[in-house]
Amino acid sequence: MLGFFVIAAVCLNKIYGVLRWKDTMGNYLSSIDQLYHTDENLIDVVFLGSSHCYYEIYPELLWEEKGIAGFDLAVSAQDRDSAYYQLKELLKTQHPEVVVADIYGICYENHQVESNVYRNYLSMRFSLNSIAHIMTYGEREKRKELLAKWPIVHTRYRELKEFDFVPYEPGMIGRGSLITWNICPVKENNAVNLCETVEPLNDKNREWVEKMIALSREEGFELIFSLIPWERGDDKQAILNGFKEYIAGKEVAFLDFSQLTEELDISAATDWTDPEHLNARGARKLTGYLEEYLTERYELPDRRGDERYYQWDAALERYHQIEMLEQLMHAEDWGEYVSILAEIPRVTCVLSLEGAYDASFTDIYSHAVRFNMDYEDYLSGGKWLYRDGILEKVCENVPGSEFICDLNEIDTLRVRYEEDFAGDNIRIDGISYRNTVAGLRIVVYDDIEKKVVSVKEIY
Amino acid sequence: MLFNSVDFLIFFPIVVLIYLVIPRKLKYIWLLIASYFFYMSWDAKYVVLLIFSTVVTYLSGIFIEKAAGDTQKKLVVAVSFIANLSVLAFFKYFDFFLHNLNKILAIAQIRLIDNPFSLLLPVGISFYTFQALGYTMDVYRGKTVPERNLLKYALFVSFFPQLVAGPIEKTEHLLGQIHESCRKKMVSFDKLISGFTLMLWGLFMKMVVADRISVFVDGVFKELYMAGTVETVLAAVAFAIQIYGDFAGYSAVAIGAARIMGFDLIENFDTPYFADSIGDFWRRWHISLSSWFRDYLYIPLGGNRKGRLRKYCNLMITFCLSGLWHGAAWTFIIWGGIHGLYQVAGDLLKPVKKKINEFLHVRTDVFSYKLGKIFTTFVLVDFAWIVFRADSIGQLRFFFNRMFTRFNPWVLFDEGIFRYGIDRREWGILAAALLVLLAVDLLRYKKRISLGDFLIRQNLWFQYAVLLLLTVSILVYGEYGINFDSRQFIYFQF
Repeated sequence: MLGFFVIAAVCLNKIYGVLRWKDTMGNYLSSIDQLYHTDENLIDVVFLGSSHCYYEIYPELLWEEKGIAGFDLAVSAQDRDSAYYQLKELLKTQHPEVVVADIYGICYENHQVESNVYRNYLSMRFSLNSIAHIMTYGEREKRKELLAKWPIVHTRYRELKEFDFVPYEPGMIGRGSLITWNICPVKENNAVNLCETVEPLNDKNREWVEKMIALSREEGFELIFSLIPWERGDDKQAILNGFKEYIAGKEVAFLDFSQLTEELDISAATDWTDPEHLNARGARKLTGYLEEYLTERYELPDRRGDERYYQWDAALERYHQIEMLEQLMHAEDWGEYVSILAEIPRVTCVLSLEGAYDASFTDIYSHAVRFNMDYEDYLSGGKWLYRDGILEKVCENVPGSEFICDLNEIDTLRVRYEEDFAGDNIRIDGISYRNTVAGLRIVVYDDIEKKVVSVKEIY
Repeated sequence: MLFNSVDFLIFFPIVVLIYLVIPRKLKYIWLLIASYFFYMSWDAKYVVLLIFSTVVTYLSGIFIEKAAGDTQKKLVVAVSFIANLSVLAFFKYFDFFLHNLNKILAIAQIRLIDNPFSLLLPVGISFYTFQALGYTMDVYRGKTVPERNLLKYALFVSFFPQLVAGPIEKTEHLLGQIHESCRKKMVSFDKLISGFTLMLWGLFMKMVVADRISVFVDGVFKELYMAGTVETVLAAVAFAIQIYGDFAGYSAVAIGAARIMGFDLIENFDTPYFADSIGDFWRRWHISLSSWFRDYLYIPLGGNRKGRLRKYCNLMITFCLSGLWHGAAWTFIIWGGIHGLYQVAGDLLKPVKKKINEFLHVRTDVFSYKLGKIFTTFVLVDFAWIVFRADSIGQLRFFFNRMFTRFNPWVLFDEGIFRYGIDRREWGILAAALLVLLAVDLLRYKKRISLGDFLIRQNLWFQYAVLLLLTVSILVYGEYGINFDSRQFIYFQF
């Protein structure tokens, strides 16, 4: 019988790995997962907070500018207890010099959205920390389910996707941020609230502040409370005023970004992705301010060049990739599109020339040459792969010719030639991306996200 | 504390581990403590009723033994029955009685009576009351000697695996094993495997089959205005599967849990939907209750010994009361009555059936004849299940109306069938689970062997593979957890 329980435990552990909570609303991104993929003693600065934190503080930029090894330990609607216990979990393997803790969590006593309960309470591995964390959860009945985890996660069999079975690269290299260039104009000074009412901190909030301060002394890190800008009502502002009043007599720094939106030059027209969150443009400004603030006050080492910090390098490369893909989406002409594409890291481009493209009024070759294609090849047509600046012809436009390659453990590329514009000519994971007109077809595949991100036809 | 709850997952291993390691003489005391804890996890105050029933029937045994003559013995039996059934009637039927009385008063335009109580049905009361009364009767009939040890007797009434939904045990069967538990050695490996298999199988029936198919049944009954012939017929069949999976699943967990601790409970189900007559169905469905009614009601009423008319009356009384036992509602009484009528009509039509078979040269010794009988029996049983499931007489009429109108088989092909709460993926899982259920029932029907007993005869790798598949199926595809409105076992309400 013991044998059975051992085998069952191994099998169930494997199955749990597939079913376990993954942040499916945030494209499988979970900063706790990213933390678990980080080797010991690497993080120097931790940013603790909710979506405001992961939308608005980019450790990638701190790394690029000053080589600061920052990390967003951020979960959507992170509550007080989650912030405390997730930080404790981080402190098991890391010894940061500075922890910047956002105080959004003190404004809410309960989670407004069920999935945020799961994000906050299911993402940690089973440990004394996770047990203590769950035991703080308000609804007693739910604690058992949260502790057992299976009663909640087992229904994920209905939504399983490839990244439940294979590793999601951003989940390993990411440093907690969520990068978006989406723009949503908001009203001027949307994050400024001038309400002066003061609501004294309630017992739970006071207890949290004291616990955080005690933890900082115990573990020897500098604690900075912060308020990242977001649109809020007077009731929330009154609580925040109460917080300011409470910590006024304590020797803890407080960075109120909502008072700094003018100084940061946050634009209501271009720097927000929604009324609650800044986009990458706004985040660059806010992160830049933080960078100055931190470097002025603390002697944080420049870690660039240290091989152990490969995840920060990869995250920065990812940041630039997303930035360039964004530019690619908004390229105004074929020339600009091709120029950007030729420089984007970590993408695979499938190029296909079919039909009587040399009779086109457009100088298609002037675009093809950006991928280092020579003229003879261009004239004979065919299919090419362009990766890391290297162009490789993989298929001639000869009926019956075929090339198959696995792009990764999920997707397979098959290019072949039967006749011009045939449906089977370019397929990735069964989906056809064939030429539709005589010209150069470009299919852009993101090697990190493992999906086709752009399709263009130059004719 | 439901069998399919996290609480039971913690409670049961602790009880078993302690039970296996403590001295033999303390085992029954430990089980008694565990049983009362289990019962009180529902509603602690109702433990008073359990104690009351235990003490009354315990004393009845002592007094029957000491009684001078048969009249005195009968008096003790009567007191025990009246005391126990009064409690049962009050808690289970008072609301029903008052509701019907008020209907009559309303017709007579007399002021209605307010309900002075707000009663919740104590869980398992129908089961342990009947088990305890069975003891009184067995002592009276001299089938068993009165139990002197109150704690052992209390365990007999409250043994937690079968306390809240049976099987309703016979005195000599369970009480004997309780005495035996103080003497016997460790539980055998085979019993552990067999018991564990039965528990998993029961949970599979309940959580993968019954609770999944119940979504469809509830969906049809809730959206009855949308349903036509196809949906209602499917819902009727689905409910037959649901209640089987639910109750037979519960019984399997109960029997398995008891077996892990070395106790053999009586089988409660024996492939009931393979029955080839209504009489046969009742020998296979809820066997412990059927035999209770047979032994302690039908036979004392005279059974089939006092003429045909009396036999039919006894059948109708027994089945109507059996229906009433299931719940305080007219639909349950009608359900019982329908089964009584089936039995009477079956008996009356026997010669006619024989003549028809002879006239049509129907071969009765072939598979197709047997299959026809099984199919007919299922249709009759399923028809009665609709009455059992209906929330009211009005809903029942509407359901039957829809069964014979709006014939639209295209709902099976235009995805209309997915409107009732189960999508294509869930139907797929359900279909696979039903195939497994059918295979296990066929195994039992053909080989006369339960899954647990079948498995202990197999090689270890096969045992582990089956146990593992069941475990994974339950944990992944079982209906439980926060997003699922975990439903109690249907028979708990009785």
